[in-house]
Order: sequence, then C-alpha cells, then structure tokens
Amino acid sequence: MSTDDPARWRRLDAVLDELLALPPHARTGRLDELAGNDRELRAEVEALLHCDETDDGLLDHPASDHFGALLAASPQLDGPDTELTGREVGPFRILGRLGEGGMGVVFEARQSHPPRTVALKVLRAGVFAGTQQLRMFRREAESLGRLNHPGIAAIHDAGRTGDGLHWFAMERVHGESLDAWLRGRPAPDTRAEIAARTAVCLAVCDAISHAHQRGVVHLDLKPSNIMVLPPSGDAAAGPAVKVLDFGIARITGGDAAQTTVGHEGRAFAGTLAYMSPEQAGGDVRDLDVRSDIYSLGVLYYEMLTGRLPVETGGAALPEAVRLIREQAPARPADLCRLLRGDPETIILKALTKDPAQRYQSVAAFAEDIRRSRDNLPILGRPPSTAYQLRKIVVRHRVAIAFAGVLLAGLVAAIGGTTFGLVRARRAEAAAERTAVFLESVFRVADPSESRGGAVTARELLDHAVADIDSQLVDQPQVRGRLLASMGNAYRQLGLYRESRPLLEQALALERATLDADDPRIARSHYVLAGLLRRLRELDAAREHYRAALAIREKARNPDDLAVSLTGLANLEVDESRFAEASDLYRRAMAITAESAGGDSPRYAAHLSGLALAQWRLGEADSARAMLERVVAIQRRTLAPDDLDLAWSLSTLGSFYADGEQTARARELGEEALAVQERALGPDHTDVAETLDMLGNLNHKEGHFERALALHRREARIWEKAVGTEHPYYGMALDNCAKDLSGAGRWAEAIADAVRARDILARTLPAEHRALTYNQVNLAVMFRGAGELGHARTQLEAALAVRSRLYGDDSLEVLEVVIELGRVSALQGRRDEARGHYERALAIAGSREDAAGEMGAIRSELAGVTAGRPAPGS
Amino acid sequence: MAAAEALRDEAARTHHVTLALHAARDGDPAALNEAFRLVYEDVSAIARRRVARHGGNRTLDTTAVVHEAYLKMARHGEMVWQDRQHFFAVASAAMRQVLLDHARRRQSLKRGAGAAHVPYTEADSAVDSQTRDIIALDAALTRLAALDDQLARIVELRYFGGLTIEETAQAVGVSDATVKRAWRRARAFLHHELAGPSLGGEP
Repeated sequence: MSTDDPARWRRLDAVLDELLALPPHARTGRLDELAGNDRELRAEVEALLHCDETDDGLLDHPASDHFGALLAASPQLDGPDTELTGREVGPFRILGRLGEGGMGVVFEARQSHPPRTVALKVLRAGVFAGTQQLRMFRREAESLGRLNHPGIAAIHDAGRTGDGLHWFAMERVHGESLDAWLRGRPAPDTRAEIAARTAVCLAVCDAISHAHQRGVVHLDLKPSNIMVLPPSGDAAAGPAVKVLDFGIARITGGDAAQTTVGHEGRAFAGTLAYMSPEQAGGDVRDLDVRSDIYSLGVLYYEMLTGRLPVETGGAALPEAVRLIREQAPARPADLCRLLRGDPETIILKALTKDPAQRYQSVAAFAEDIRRSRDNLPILGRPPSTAYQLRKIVVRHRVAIAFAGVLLAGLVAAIGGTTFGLVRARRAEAAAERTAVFLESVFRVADPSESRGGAVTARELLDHAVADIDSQLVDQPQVRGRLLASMGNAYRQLGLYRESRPLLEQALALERATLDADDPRIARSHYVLAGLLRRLRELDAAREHYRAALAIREKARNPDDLAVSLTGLANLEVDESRFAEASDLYRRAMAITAESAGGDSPRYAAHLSGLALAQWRLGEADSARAMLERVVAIQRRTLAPDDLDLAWSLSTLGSFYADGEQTARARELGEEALAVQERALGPDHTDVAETLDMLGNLNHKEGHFERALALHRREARIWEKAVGTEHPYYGMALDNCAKDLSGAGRWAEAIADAVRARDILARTLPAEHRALTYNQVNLAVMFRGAGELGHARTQLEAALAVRSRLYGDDSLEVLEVVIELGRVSALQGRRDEARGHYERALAIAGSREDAAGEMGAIRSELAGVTAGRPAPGS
Repeated sequence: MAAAEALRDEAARTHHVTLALHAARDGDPAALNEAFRLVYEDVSAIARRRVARHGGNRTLDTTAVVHEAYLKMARHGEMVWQDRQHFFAVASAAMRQVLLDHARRRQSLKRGAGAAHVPYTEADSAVDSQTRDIIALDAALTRLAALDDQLARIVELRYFGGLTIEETAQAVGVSDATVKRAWRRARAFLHHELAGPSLGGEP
C-alpha cells in the first residue's frame, strides 16, 4: 500500500470490507460510488480485490506447511544426544549427556591436555539462541568465573564452536542431588540426623555466602541445584556440597551489602516453592541476597521437616502466589518437637515474608544455626508479635548506644592529640577520616538503603571492624580507640570470643603509640580484664586489673582507682576469697567516700559488693544492714526504674528470705519486680527470674495459689523467650507443679511435673541435678496421690544420680533417703523403711549442717517401728 | 525421579507464564515481554523437538506446536479462560518470532565466517526460499500492524498459531464473521505487499 496513514487505511479497509461482501459483478459500481473522485483509493482497492482473487500459495496454508525445512535446518540439542556425542567442542570431546538445566544441556566431556573430565554446558538453542538466552548463558559463565569456592563448581573454560554452539566447561561433580541424598537418609527425628542435615545446610550457606560476597545472587536455590558429595575420609571436614546452576543468578556491582538485581531481572524464573515471596510476586526490583536467604530457609525447613513451609500443590496459580506471599509456614516444632526453641526461631526468621525482617546475610543465618547447634544464645530475634513490638525500641537503642560508643571513642581519640599545631592538624585529619568512617557504618543501618532497617547489631559490628582494618591503617591511635569501642560493643552483646581479639589489638596499638602512663592504656587493661573474668581466665584478668591499677595509682584519679580495686575484689569473690575481697571493697569505699561522698551511687556500688562478700562470710546481719543502706542511697540518687536499684532490692529480698523474714523479703521482691517491669517491660527474662524468687517465697509461706500465679507468669515469659523446649521453661513448669501439689491439686501437679520431666530429660545432660529436683518433687506428688510405685521409681533414679554427683553422705542424698523411708512405710515395707531412716540418721549425724534434721527423722523412724501411719498418708 | 523433577520444574515454569500473562492483562508491559520470552522458549523447543522427531519428514505443523505448548500449560490445570485467550495470542506471536529468528540467523550464518565450508544442497535451496518468504512476510505483517493492529493479530493467530476461525474469534473477542472478513482483507493486503510494488495500485 502506498499509505502508512492509519486513518486513510481505515477508509480503504472499510471500502474493501463492503465490496468483498458483494458478489464480484456488483463491486465495480459500488466502488465508483464509494471512491468518488479519489482515484488513488480506487486504484488501491482494485489492487487488493485482485489479490483477494489470486491464489497465494503462502498465506492459504498455515505456516506449518511452509517453514518446516527452515526449522529442520538447525543443529538439534533437544534431539538424539548421539548427534553431539563424540563431537569435539573447543578442547573437549563429548562423552555423553549428564542432564539439562534451564537453558543448557550438560554433557560429560574429556580434555586431553590437561587430562581431565569436565561438565560441559552447551546452550540449548544451539546456533539459534535468542539474544536474551545468550546474555543469560554468558552471565552464568561470568558468575561462575567470579566465584572461587569449594562449594561451587569451578568454571574452566568457555567459548563458541565454529558452527555457533556456545559452551562453557565446569568442574565435573560426582555426587547426588540434595533431593536424592535426602531420600537416602533416615527420617529427621533424631538429634543425630538433624545434626547431619544441619551440617549439609551449613555447607550450602558457606558457598552462597561466598557468592554474595562476590556480588552474585543465585535466585534459583532448590534441592535439584545442590549436589552432596560422597563423604571424604576426613570426618572432621564435614560434608561437602556443590551448588550448581547459576543460570539465573544476578551479578551486581559493588560489594555484597549493595547486592541487588537489575530491573530486567527474570521475574518468573526459579521454582515457585523455593521462591521468596517477593520473587514469586515478581517484584524484580526488590530481589537481593535476602531472596536467597528465604530460599535457604525453605531448604532448611524441608531438610528438617520433610515438608515445604508453604504447600501450594493443587492451588491455582494466583492462589499459590498469594499463599507464598501471605500464608505463615506451619511451625517446624509442630512437625518435629526437636526443633522447638532456637531451631524453629532461626528457620522462621529466614522465612519471614518481609525481607527487612529476615536475616540480612547468609553469614548471620549460618552463625545462628551454629550457635543453636552449640547451645549458645542465638542472635536473631524471633519474629513473634511481642518481639515485633519490642524490636523497634531495641533496634534504635542498639543503634543509638552504638553511635554513642563510637562518638565517645572519636572524641577521646581526638582529645588526646590536640597538643601543638602539628598534632592539631593531624587530629583534624583523624577526625575527618573517622567521621567518614562513622557515616559509612551507619549507612548500613539507614532504612532507606536497600538492605532495609533491620540490620542486627552484630552485622553492624562485623561491617565496622572490616572497615577499621582497611581504612584506618595509618591512624593507629584512632584505630586503637575504635577497636576498643567495637570490642566493648561485642562484649555488651555477649559475644565474648569476638570481643577479645579486638580489645587485645586495641591495647597493643595503644601501648605502641601512647605514653606508658596514658590513662587510655589503663582503661583498655581494665576493660580487657572484665572480659577475661567473663571468660573465666581469672589469672589473666588479675594481671590486667593490676596493670590498670598501677597506671591509675600514679594518675591519682580516685574514681578510676576505686573501680580498678573493685574489679580485683570481684575476682577474689570469684575465687571464694571473701576476706581479701572485703579489704579491696573497703579500700575502694574509702577512696570514693573522700572524692564523691558517702552518699554517692558509686559509694553504694562498692558497698553492695562488700555486703555480698560479708554475706558469704556468714555475717548475715551486717550484710543486711549494708544492703539496706545501699538501697536507701540508691532510692535517693537513682531513677525509680534503675536496674541497679532493682538488683539491690531483689538481693536484699533474698537475704531476708534466707533469714526466714519472708514477709519483708516478699515486699522487697515485689518492689524489685515493679522496677524491672518499668525498665524492661513485662516479658523480660530478668522479670522471670524475680517472679521465680517471689513465687518460691509465696510457696514457702504457704500461699500456694499466689505462688502458682507467679510461676505461671514466669513460665510464659520463658516460653516466649526461649520456647518450651528449654530447661528454663521446664524448671518453671516444675515450680508450678510444686505449687499445685502444695495446694493439693495432685492430678494437675503430676501432669505438669511429668511434662517438666520430659522437657528436662530432653534438654539437659542425662545426669543434671535439675533433673533430680524434678524427680524428687514428682515422687512427693505421686506419694500424695497414692501412686507409691511411681514415687519409688523416681526416688531410686534420683538417688543414683545424686550419689554420683554429690557423694553418698550429701544433704541431697539425705533428702531422697528420707523420702524413700516414707514411701516404703506407706507401702507397708517396714523393714525397708527402717533401713532408710537409719541411713538418714547416719548421714545427718555425720554433718553439722544436718544436725537439726535428726529429731524429725527419729520421730518418723519411731512411727514406723510403732506401726503409726507415715506422714503424708 | 527425574520425570517428577521435570514435571515440577515444568509446573513452576507454567506458574511463571500464567503469572506473567495475568500481569500483562493488567497492563504491565514488562510482564508481557516476560510471558513472550518464556512462551518463545517453549514454542521454539517444541518446534525443534518435533522437527527432530520426524527426522527426514521436514514438515513442521505449527498448529500442533502451539497446541502442544498450550497443553503443557494446561496440564497443570490452572489456566482460566482469559489466560487461554491471552496465551494463544502470545504463543502465535512467539511462533512467528521463532521462524523469523531462524531465518535471520540462517542469513547471518551464510554471510558469516565458515560459510564457504557449508555445502549447498537441494534442501538448502528450499530453506533459502523459505528464509526469504518469512522475512518478507514478517515485514509486511509489521506494516499491517502499524495500520491496523487487530488485523495483524488475527493473522498471527490464524496463520502462525494455526487457530481455527472460532478459536481466533474467541481470542480476539469478536464474532466469527468478523474474523472471516478481517482475514480476507488482511490476506489481500499481505498478498499485495508480498507481490511487490510493481503490482501496486499506483496509476
């Protein structure tokens, strides 16, 4: 057509349409009418009418009749493999087909120089690869080229054959896919099997973490893309895996922190079940390392439970995507109770729908898996509602506290260098660099950055330490100060092992660059000493306290001096040298009384140390008086929600409880509880510990229902904080059982005690003393309920363990023996009962601290001999 | 288990196609590209597999190809009616692109390095003629689309997708009669374009 004007075409088309509907002989007349003077239109319509009548040959048969030869003329990769087998591709000779991935067929191939067998991936479409396919194929090769990790198949070579086949050669992996491996394993319902599967998951995490560090996001993690290698001879090396198929992986510029994918990401690739909600939803712009973390979460979930977290089988697609985006996974612990507590918390955190709430790095995910395996507290917060609410507060608190620590470090570093013009200039430069550095640290925490706001304090620190090492090489002083700050921050997070090398490095830097008597060196000694005390390296701690003390004695700064003395005093307490500790506390008090006054909080802090030491020396009355004074000072000088005050109150409460002044003890405990709830919220574990103490007090006073309410609250807090599969929860449950039995609610008591026993048996070492507490409690309950046979079983088990743990003549054994006497008496085994009571008398007689029991035992023994009913019957 | 695995991958892939079709229907051009790309891969693979399977018999039934691609989707039972219509449109366009890409690469291969080593056979002559045909047809169809998109789509569905009048009418959302008439006009136009300007209507 001469026209490319749609309006004109519409007119022409309308005319044509009308004429075609007419019989041929009627068309010319009608065309005259319609075209009028438009000769051009008329000519075009006539040409088209002519074409309509001509047999075309091309268009009159579907394309299928026409283009078969064209399609048939291309090399076939989907056809018989024999076509390529035996062929030379680059330096390789193809031996046979191994399998196929999303866009490539993988062959086994052999190279003669160097002699090796490789996996050769050939682009599926052969010569006729689309540009998009080709780009992705090349990207996979490029991704692999960036990676160098034993968990990722290495790429050897890449190229294109003379006839246009694209290929690359990878390490040939001998192993089985993760799904095949899983099918060959026993069910994951034993600790050993869970450990074996966890080790494989950690190996995968290791490989993916490496990829992320090199700026490669996998985006297609699933069991068929992971090979588990046969075990090597070296058992300590752990399982080896290879992650395959980086076919849709993304390469991104810059470091892993900024690893996100481009807009042209392959929105719908990957396998739905393993896709993160954002990937399944097609939010390509939002795909980053956290998408892989979700997929690892799915893998780990499936490995440990045998199920997918979100089952979409049978659901129509929009529904399946909605499920992935919205449906919470079934709780792993409901599928396998060994996963209760931390393992479940870790898996669910990786599977959080909102990427910002997941682990922010594979390293952090793997770290928590390791910590859980090693029974260390995990660092990831569980995504429960209570934590969601508190999280915001905590996150800001950590960030703010951390900023404070850093800025204090900066000021101190700069402050120490401003003498003379030259040093002032250097200080300016240091300030500038430090400021830049600080900004870079906090950029990670900025919610507007791609990683979102929920960077854990741990990640922040790891990031910062890496930066300090790389950016502040020529700034030893600033570097030392900042390393010390970081070490301190790790210590506050309870990461003592990580803290130590930083603090030691900081001290070494300071000693190399500062005057020997510089107060900063003393400070570093002091902080390191505190850490070493935590790590139970008491001698090393003492060395550092003494070094700090030596510098500070010269400097005559009374506060620092006193603090160093109490540090040493605490060490003496640790080693049960209470008299020596008391002397050191008194020296600290004398110094502080002069500098800050006898009513100052510092003075009160030293005094509370002395009070504890005196208490341990048996000076109960003076210890109580001192602690009363501490409480009085702290009430005056500290905020009403100060945790030091709460500590003093609850300690004083326990002093009174021990002295049988339970009412006063309870008063103090309740006040401590109120302070803690104000400062920490109602669900903090410190609150649980105070509830435990208060509950015990009420139990002791015979207020069983009140005790039960307190212990129930305690149990709920532990459940939220550590899960039900944890000894703390078990012990709280055991407390509840005791209260119930005190109230005579035997059936409920036994139910709780049995649950507690099961939890403790699963979570504690076989011979743990807490288990025997439970067994004795349970025995008393069984006796109360008249189930004497069960009571005896419990007691015999407890007796065996306690004899081993504490010795045959211990108070702990005495308790069990008396109880055995009672049960035997109730069972009518009078000779046996007498035997137990006589043994009890022998034990009590051999111990000063049990002399008071003798009378009661004798009277029970007399009862048995006289045939009187035993107590508790 | 390899079969089950393949089936699962296929199910996942189908999810993606349908997902993309949904998004495309809601007006997301990137999703349409995505759907096209995925369906293209399917159609291309099926076409080549069919050619390979039939060996010497060098006839490709494009209708069967598009239907096989569709069945592969439908096997997972999640396509709603609108998806089906949309799928045929995308698959037909993909079929056209598959043929065109083969032709273009064929041309570039003949021009490129190593061309001299490729022996020329009778079969090659047929391939050459088909190469010219498809490139010319594609250009003509592109011109038609610029003038009247619906006519061009009907051609794609009928010719490349191998859909019947009824199926085409459903896919476009018009009556059977409209499709019949449109096809005839489009055919006339294309025939006219392919015949070259010498037969044009210029006086």
